[in-house]
Amino acid sequence: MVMRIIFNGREEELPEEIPLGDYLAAKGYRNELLVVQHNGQIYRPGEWQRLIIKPGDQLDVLHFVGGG
Amino acid sequence: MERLIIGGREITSRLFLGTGKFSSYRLIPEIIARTGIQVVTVALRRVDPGKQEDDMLAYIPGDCILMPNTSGARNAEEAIRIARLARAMGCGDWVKIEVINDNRYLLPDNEETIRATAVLAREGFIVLPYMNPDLTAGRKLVDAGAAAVMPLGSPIGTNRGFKTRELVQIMIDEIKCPIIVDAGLGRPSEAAEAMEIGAAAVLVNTAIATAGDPLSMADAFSLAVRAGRQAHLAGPGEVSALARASSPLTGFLD
Repeated sequence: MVMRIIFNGREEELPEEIPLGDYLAAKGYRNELLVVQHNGQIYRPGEWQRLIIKPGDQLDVLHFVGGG
Repeated sequence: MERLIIGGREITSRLFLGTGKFSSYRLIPEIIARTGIQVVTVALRRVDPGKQEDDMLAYIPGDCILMPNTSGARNAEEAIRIARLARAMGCGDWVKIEVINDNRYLLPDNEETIRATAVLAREGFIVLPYMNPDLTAGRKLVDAGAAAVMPLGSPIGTNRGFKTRELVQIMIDEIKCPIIVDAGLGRPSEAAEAMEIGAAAVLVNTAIATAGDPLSMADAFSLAVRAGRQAHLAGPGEVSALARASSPLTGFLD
């Protein structure tokens, strides 16, 4: 059974519920200075491993870039 | 020189820096060290896998005031969402509201900007809205709780200069809140002109970031902003249509 989530605005399929930290590490993200918005809540890197991704979750990985 | 206070903070440099388009983020701390710039804008973006760049915040000294912008927002709700996110990410209370739904000229939507300003000011944000120069909209922004109002000099990123001078002058004359000219200033002389007519500050990005030597150009803007401010305080002399002799025309050649 696959589960669907919305990751950075796009639908993705996952085989099972997994910790957010493992999911992001598998995608190749480096932890530092990133923040994740999970169903509208902000999570910093130290909190990622405690958070388990569930079906229907909405995730956005965010950081600050140059801008005027 | 007179002090500029915004959101309870004394602002020592009246040149605000936008951080987009620099060839390297490493230039940003160098520019800040050279010029004493204090207010710095940043933008919030999604990061896709494999496309993680350096985080801008790592390059901005801790004593700067971070002003995240709401670029990408097409209406008040989106701007509010971005502002709340930026604050939750530890960016502080300052926010530059930018609501744009015109992709050709990137001109801001004053009506949505006023709505977003009202909501965010009530939530304790120090709101600096980017806007089309207009006295009525400026007054509404102040009533909505804006800490300063930021009319554009010309469209974003164009380096076309201070094309909105007449309208901005009216805003400066009629609105008590600090007026900061944001966007379009392309040369230090144009920044000086804005300061001469009484702007409280200017926000410059493209003109510095795309200069041949950004560090030197930032320095030039910084000097121009100080010169313009000093000239404003000095009180420029009257302009007249006819010549008025600067030397005495004594009659010894008659």
